[in-house]
Amino acid sequence: MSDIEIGFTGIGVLVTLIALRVPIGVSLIGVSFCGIWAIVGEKAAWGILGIVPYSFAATWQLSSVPMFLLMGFFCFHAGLTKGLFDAARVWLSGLPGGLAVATVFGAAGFAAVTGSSVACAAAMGRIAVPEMMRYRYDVSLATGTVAAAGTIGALIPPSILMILYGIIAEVPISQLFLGGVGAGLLTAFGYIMVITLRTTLNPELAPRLTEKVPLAAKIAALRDTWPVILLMGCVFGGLFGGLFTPTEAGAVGAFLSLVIAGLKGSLTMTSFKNALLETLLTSASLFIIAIGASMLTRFLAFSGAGDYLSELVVAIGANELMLLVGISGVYLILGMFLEPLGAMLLTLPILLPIIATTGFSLVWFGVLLTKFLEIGMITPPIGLNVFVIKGVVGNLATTTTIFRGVMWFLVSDLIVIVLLISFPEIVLYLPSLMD
Amino acid sequence: MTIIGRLLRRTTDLTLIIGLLAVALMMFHITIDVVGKFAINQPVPATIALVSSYYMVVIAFLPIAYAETRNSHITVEVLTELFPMRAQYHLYSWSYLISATVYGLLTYRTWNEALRTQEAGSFIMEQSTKLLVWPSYYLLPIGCGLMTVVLVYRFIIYVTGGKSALGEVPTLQKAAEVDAAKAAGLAKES
Amino acid sequence: VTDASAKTLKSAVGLATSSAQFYAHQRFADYVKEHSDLKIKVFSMSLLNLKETPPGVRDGIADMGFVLPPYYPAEYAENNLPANLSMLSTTGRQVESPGAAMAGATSEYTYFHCPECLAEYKKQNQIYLGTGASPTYINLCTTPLRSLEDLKGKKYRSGAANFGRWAEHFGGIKVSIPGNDIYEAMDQGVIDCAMLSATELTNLSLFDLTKFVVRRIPGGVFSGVATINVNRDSWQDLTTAERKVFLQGAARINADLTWKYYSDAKKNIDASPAKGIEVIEPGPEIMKASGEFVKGDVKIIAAQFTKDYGLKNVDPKIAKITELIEKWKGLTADIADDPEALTKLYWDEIFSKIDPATFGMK
Ligand code: NA
Ligand code: NA
Repeated sequence: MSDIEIGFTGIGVLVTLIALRVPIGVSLIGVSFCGIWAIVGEKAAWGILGIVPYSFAATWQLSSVPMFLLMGFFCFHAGLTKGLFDAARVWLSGLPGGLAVATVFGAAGFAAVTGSSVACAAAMGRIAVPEMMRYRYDVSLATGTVAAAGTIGALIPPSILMILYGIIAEVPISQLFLGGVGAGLLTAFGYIMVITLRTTLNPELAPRLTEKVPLAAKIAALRDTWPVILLMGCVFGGLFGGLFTPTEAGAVGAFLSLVIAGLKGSLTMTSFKNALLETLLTSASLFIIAIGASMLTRFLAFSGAGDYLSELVVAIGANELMLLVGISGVYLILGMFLEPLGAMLLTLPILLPIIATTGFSLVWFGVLLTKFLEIGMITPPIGLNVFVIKGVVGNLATTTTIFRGVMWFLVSDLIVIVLLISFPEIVLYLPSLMD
Repeated sequence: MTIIGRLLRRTTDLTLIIGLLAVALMMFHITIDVVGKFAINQPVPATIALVSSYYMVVIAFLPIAYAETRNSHITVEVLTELFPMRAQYHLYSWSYLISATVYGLLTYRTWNEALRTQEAGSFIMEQSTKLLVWPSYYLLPIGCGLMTVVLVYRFIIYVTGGKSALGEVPTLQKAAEVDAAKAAGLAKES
Repeated sequence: VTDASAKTLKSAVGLATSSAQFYAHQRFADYVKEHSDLKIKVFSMSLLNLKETPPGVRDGIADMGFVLPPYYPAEYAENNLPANLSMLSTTGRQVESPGAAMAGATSEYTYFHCPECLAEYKKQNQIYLGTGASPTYINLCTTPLRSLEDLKGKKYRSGAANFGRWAEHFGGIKVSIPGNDIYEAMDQGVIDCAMLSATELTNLSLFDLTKFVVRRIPGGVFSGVATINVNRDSWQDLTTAERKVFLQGAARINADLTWKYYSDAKKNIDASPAKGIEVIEPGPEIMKASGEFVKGDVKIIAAQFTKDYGLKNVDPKIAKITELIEKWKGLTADIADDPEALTKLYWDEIFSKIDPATFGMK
């Protein structure tokens, strides 16, 4: 077998193992180990197994994931978010799927303080899912909404992916950030449309509230929103006031939520311990998958699969439209199996020079790429955002249930992609104001 | 058999407590560093080094086995949930063997890596502060090794049909319920 | 023979394709291809990141790679000593490209005056093929530094201990932030200045945020670099003729890396005024104080390498390195902007003196 054939065989084995319910982390690590052994040899396979787990976990930037998780768990267990959702409930009670819509709004706001979509999904998942379950929302709709809404976290700045793209492609990061705002808001709008359409067509998914809420009660409901608004205000203020970096924001946010819960008098020893426990279990089960995904990237790099697919695109890409169709195909396929960073590192060395020779703006391409990679976060079989939500909700939903809920949002995402390609101004308008 | 199960339970509980402490300490440590930096221009030395080389490594590897006893490891059931309950039960149990192999390989390799870093006396310098990091390399074989043992134990329980005392896969209970219902049905018919 | 000629070797660079490091590795691959039957594929980031490269080359994941000894101070203690003394290349006699001098001095020291250094690489299953170095470390700031008074109270991002001590010596605050966080830290005012080379204005997109480029201070270069360490087994699998091509390529890659890095930095500084960035030349008062700091700091470095790194005979080693830096300042003074002349110099003075038949073979 040639290297590239071993690469594709490996993907086949991976899909089979996952379908047979072998834990995802184990499947990824096992396939990568055997695949590298087959292509490069025994020494390199053992080498990857010895080096990658430690080097992946022992990083400063990754520390924001457990810390943002912890913040979400504190908010939930101390009841800080309940007031906000009660307010959202009475104010949005007229809307079909009001709580799910509120979740998308919440994610878009949270996106402005976090750079990663996993962190965004984690925090929102713990806050919003239980509230939606309390009002008897469909499990698949509730979990799918947070998994998808999390992807807004990497589109609206700050964004770790855009920073790395900016460094690799030598594009001003500030321009990418501004470009991401349009794509992020469009994505959020698309998700709200999906929720509205689905719950209008099938009201059982999100039982509408029949109670008529008087205005006085509506205003009274705003009173209990202070904990979250205070928390968000402090995190935003600290971030934009230069007190801490986005990586540090998770820990500070978790600490602040602890303090606010203390002020509110709603923190018990049990809820404190539960928040820590859920953070720990979710992080550990997520990291082992991410370590496996990182190993898979090396396996595919050895196999030349990234080069193969990229060159295929270039060969097919007779004109600019065909090139874009090809690129879309490659990222949708790679996104199914790889984590975003891996997919980006494997393909950019070949695709960037090609894009540069076309008339496309590299800022626009960077935002489009981020959007593609974020779609990969929610497509089966390896969808990190879906796994985060699975970790967060425990036995409430299977991964299949969450993936099923996500499917509807993928339809909206594809439309967003078409719009971003047809109307680059959606991305480029804000950056153009800067010049 | 249950004695081994109880021993494993104690050990995983211990790793859990260390993991919980790591999460809480990491939050306080980073917050104190941030406050120190802006309030008194005095950051906590080696914060980045400690967070990345210790807290993160503890969180990533020590609770793996505990997560297994709580069935927290993430799987995709899209195909298997169509199978009959008994078939799922057998399939899940055999997948312990695959997992045990992979974690066994990881244990062996990361143990060698830990020995090597200890021999080298690995440390990192953050500014002028020296932080020994080789001890943190041992967290990998400890976490993965405990996981391997738990998986092997679960497989043995499956083969021997003994009592586990370690928490079970949900399907095992469901399969047992189905069996019980069937047995009750058969009894009624006869 | 047929097997060897069909084989493609793997080279790992944990940086983007636009980096000087990738450029130099690609040129090395081209040179080897032209002069032998070997092929080299250069991987950018997807195979091994910077931190994974040293153990990755050790374990044969890549046949060669861009290795940074400062990531593993225990494993490469001896090799970190010259890297920590790089501020000596920007004090005393001023030269156009201190990186070119530091690269030559480090390579000569490692090969011919520090058997312990080569033993360390051997222990890591690697063959050392020389050092390339960055241009001068300067301050990229959002606030001006014109006087000693200005230096006080500012927050400096420092990537190494000596830069941190420099900041504190002048009454500033050192902040540790990893490379990828610098952009946001500067954007949000967590730091006032980043101590980096001018190349980072493009590499880390800091052109967006920088308002003032303050030249010459803190000084020093980044020379904790083993530009292209080769896996020992891969090296021994080469023929003597191929190893000779590698050594010739080594002279070239270290010259290429240092020159590309230097000229990119120069381009960025030249482009700064047009982008509304003020380039500040620090006055004699600051330069004198900075030079005095470096002299005093050498004693701290000596103590640290004796105590924390566990080195023996540190003082004579520092004396040798100091002597070599001055020697190489002279050798490279007029050829900073000529990569071909630099290649020839490194070959004549260093790599031609290494025997491809025996080096690294036992
Ligand atoms: Na964001
Ligand atoms: Na996916």
